[in-house]
Amino acid sequence: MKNNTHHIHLNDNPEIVFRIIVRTYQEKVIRFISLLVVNRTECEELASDVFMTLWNQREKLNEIENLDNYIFIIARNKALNHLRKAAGPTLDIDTVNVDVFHHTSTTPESIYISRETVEELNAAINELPQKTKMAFTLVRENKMKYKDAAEVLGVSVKTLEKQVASAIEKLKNKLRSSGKF
Amino acid sequence: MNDQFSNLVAKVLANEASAEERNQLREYLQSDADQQLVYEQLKEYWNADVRLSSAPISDFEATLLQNLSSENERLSKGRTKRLTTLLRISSVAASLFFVVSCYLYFIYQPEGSHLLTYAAQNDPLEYLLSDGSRIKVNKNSSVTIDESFGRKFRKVKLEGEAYFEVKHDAVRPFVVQTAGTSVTVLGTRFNVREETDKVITTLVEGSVQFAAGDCDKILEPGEELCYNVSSGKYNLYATDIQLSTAWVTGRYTYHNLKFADLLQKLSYIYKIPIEISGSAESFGKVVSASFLYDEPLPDILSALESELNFSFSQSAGKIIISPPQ
Repeated sequence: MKNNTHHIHLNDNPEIVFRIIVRTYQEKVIRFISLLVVNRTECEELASDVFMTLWNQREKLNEIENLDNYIFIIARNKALNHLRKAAGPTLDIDTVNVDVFHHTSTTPESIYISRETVEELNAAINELPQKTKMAFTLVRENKMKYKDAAEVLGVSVKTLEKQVASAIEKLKNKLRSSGKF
Repeated sequence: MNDQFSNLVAKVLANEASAEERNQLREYLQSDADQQLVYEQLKEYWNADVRLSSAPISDFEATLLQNLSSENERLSKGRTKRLTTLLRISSVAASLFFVVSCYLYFIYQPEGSHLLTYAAQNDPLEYLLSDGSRIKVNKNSSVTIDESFGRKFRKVKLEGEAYFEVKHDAVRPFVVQTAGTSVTVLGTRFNVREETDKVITTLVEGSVQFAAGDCDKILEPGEELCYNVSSGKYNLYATDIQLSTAWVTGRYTYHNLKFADLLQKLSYIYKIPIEISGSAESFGKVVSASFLYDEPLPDILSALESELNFSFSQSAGKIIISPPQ
């Protein structure tokens, strides 16, 4: 009987679990939304909305298999709805053009590539179509599997694979043309 | 080949490549030194850390929690009437449920629920749990799980000291219970140590929540919380995580710190006062050092002695560092 007493502990404290989820995901969610929405304040408001939605659905959360994806899908929908309000219902993501490294700093682990090269490569990524940028960012920064990133972006795994490969192709050409190898 | 090369590189970097694809890329890179260099740079760029700059994240959280509580208040006002009826019904239902579940519990309770204990006697031991988490149990310590592990929560009981590398699982929190305290995480690396009357939690990476009595704190990486079990008092402070994790990694590694600061670390680790007497040019030097967890202090100092040009002596329970004789 003694071993059973702790089972209820966390059910009684969804706030605690929620706070940890917020801690774990807040930066990732803000970052993700910033791929579509330029204004930082709007990003944070939308991110806040994402967590509110999550909180309101807390009873359902135990049934969700992949919370990671679930959170990013909510974030994507919030961001797209936000953009549609301004652009109308026929919004095509590729007409959005956001500097995806706005408000960020990229720090390589070693000094193998220079700051200058990093900026050049960031600029190369920014030249890609919006959907490709997002695919690249999700897989690279969030360490998402192709399958999961494809689900979040609402494309097939094959498409996503092509998008990430084309981002790498772009980076490779950049390195070659600037003679940084 | 170009398209295929980019796709292969992408898959390998994204951890999506099969063993065959990995080999294919390796062979290809070996045959072409230029490509090898391009690959190294791509890899470096891929693995670079991208962070939101100037993120007022703490404000974000505070504002969010505030919004939530006002939202909840608004909702609860509107619903009070309906709620009271519902509550009455549900309290009946709950007590019924309680009776039924107790009944089921007694019927289905097997002879004592199965407990599984991971223990270490003379040397630390590492274990892999069924959820993919790794634990390293220090000597004279044990970690116990019961059969409910992994169903809704991943709950373990700790006696002594253990280091946890918790596999990320956002819907099944991992809970470490020690001497009436609990540490709750989703996925992260941290150390928990039980001392006389104290539980010390050190966070390496991620985020954990420590709860006991009135204390309810979320730790940041690099922070340590020392909780006094008998008084309920606690202390949350920034720490050198190596002091709590060297028993796991087997090493202390310090980069680019002043010689005097290194001596201070050594003094703390070996619990012996170290004094510098006199001065020498080398004492102001910036050094990097890596030494084994259980290496005797005189051995470390002897190794540094000639390199940094000093001499040392041990007397009356302290060590004195002086310029070379």
